[in-house]
Amino acid sequence: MSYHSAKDPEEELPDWLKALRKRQNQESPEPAEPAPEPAAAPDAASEAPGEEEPGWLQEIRSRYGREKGPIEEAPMSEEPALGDTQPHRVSKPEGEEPQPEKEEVEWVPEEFDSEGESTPEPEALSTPVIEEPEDRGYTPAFTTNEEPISPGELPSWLQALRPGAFPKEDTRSGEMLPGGETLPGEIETGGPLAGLSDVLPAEPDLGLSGKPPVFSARLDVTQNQQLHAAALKQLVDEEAKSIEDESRRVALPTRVLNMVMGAALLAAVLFPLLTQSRTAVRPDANSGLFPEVQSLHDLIDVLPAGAPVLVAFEVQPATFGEITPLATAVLNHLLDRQSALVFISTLPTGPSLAEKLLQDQLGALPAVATGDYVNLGYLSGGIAALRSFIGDPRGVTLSSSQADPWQDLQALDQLSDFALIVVVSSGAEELRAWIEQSGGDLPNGLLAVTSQQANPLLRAYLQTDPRTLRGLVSGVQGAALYERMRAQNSLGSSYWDAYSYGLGAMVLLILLGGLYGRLITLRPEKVKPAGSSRAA
Amino acid sequence: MLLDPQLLTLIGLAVAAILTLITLSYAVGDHPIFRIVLYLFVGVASGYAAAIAVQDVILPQLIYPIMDEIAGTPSLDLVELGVRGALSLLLLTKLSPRTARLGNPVTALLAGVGAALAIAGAVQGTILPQIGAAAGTFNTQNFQLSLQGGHYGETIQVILDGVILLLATTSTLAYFHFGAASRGKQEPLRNIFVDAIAWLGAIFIAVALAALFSGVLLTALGALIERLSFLIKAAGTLFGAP
Repeated sequence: MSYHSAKDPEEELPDWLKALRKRQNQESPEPAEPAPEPAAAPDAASEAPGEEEPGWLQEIRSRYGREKGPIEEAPMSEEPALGDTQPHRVSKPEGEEPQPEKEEVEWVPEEFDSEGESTPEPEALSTPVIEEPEDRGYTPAFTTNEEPISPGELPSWLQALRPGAFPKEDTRSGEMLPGGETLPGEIETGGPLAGLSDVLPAEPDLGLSGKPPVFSARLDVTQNQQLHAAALKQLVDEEAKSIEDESRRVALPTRVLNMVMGAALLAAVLFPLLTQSRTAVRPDANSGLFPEVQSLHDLIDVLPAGAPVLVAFEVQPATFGEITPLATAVLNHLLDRQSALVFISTLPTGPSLAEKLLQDQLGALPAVATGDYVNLGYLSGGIAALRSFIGDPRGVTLSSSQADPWQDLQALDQLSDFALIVVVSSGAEELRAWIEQSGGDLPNGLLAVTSQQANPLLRAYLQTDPRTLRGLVSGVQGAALYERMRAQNSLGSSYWDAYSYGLGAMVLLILLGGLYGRLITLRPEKVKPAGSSRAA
Repeated sequence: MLLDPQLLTLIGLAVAAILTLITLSYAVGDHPIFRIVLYLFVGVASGYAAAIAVQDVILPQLIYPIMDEIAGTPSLDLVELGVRGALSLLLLTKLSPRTARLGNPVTALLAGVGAALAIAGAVQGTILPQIGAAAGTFNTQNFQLSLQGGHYGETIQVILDGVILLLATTSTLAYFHFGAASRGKQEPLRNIFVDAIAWLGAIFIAVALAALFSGVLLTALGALIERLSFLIKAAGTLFGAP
């Protein structure tokens, strides 16, 4: 984009100068044109200059003593005053090769870039040189003996914008540049930012976008790729099939057998419950086979009246049914000893299940009926909160329906102040957390009332030295045993027959099932006809 | 309209019995009603846990102390309350993926403290005491006392305890020893002595797993008995059966 004026410079001249130039043209030939040969093209003005010269011009001639001859030889300078009205041209020395066409620089003012005038070099801007015609026959507008005009000082930013101030494009690669020097960016070639590098494009790229290419929608796949795709599709389709539906279709005899086994187990359990039979042999407490149950019973049995006992009720709802007869037997024993029960749980469901157990099974006891126990509620925070509670029970903020749960427990400052700590637990993990976090802080150790599934994992803690677990009772069997120790008939005793018969049925079914499975595997396989395989 | 508490009890009993029957019907096969009951249990458990978290944790440990502080009756130290509030707010930033990184320190604190307590507790409460118990089996003092007292039965028991414990421990450890010597181009083969002990260890491992499995079975049996007993009682209550 060029910022040159499209107008002819002549048109921009003022009217008085145009009139003067017009008159000059009428009086003399065009000075820019080469001087015609006097013989070939005689000019009217040159034929009789003396006659037509005005008086003021002759006076000037007489003042400078000029001869008419040279004037005739140089018609350009015969009207020196009028010559000033013409655009000034800088004559080039002869023999100098023509300069290559330079890049057009739009920022240069029109005074330096008028028609027919070459763009001055940068030096010419700072130190303008007034070139005079070699053959001066007129009075210059200013003389050379005058004090030269000092060059103006350009500000640094303008010097940086001068043409030639920016480096030329470096064709070297980045690796070739010394000292990690970087190449300049793209240089703007047009517009007001011409000469600057690393400028944003003036035109958005969106305008350059053309018609989007058209791609073929047809997949160019080979036969091998088609085979792989078919195999993958078959795999995905097989995964989408319902496994259960296939098991129903294929293993229907096995499902029937499972239902028969379930029915047998159900009958073995249901029949004693319906008949309320008490025919099965009760576990003998004096057999010496359950010392951990005996130990727990003895520790509770010697408790003084009013002794504080902490009950950690770590029970999940899934095992609440199994825990109920066992916990009922132990809590009943504690309440009979007039212990001051304090409940806590690290499980969200623990406090509510403890309340349910107390109200449903032990609600007739005076201590439960009058609410003479403390439920500290849910201890949130896992083993970290448990560790804090073991170290400082009062320091741990507990949730409770009561306003101040410690109001009735003024004598308890630390965990060792409890006479006993009983952990009622669904699994081994909860009890293990209590054992590991309490460590040696509990001189009386812990008593455990657990589900049967936790018993094998917890028996190891019964034999450690010092004994962190001093008593353990588990499952329906433990409930029946504990009730027999106390000469009571409660839930444990009523469940015992169903438990015994159900256990016998389970053992029998496992043996029969194993035998059936062995027979199935020993049965000779039918020879399948070729091509009947599913894989085929 | 307020319902009679006894009627509410009966309704609850009937609902519980129906849900129990539907759950037990899974023994016959999977069906949509069982799935509905399953989703109901999951939803109720989640809702109950959320309600407990709000009622028993957030309100009494954070909101009520803040309200007491505003009311001018502080129930908690201001610094502790500030720490609780700040940690809670940082943990809340985990709700948004943009701000989740702000909650990382709190999560790291929880995980770090939990891991440290678990490791320290396992070492002090489980590993060291059980190593001591296993080593105590070979205490010759018990053997000498029983021998001097003429209790030969107990003497044999002490010897058997030590032998069984030694065999069980070493053979179980040998079972998990998978080192084998190189035999050139032939495949590596475990030492025949280690192989024999490992075979014995497999037996002990099978016995231990069988004990765990039987415990799970007995737990399920106890739960089944309790549920069937409940159904019988519910039927007696609802239908007047004896």
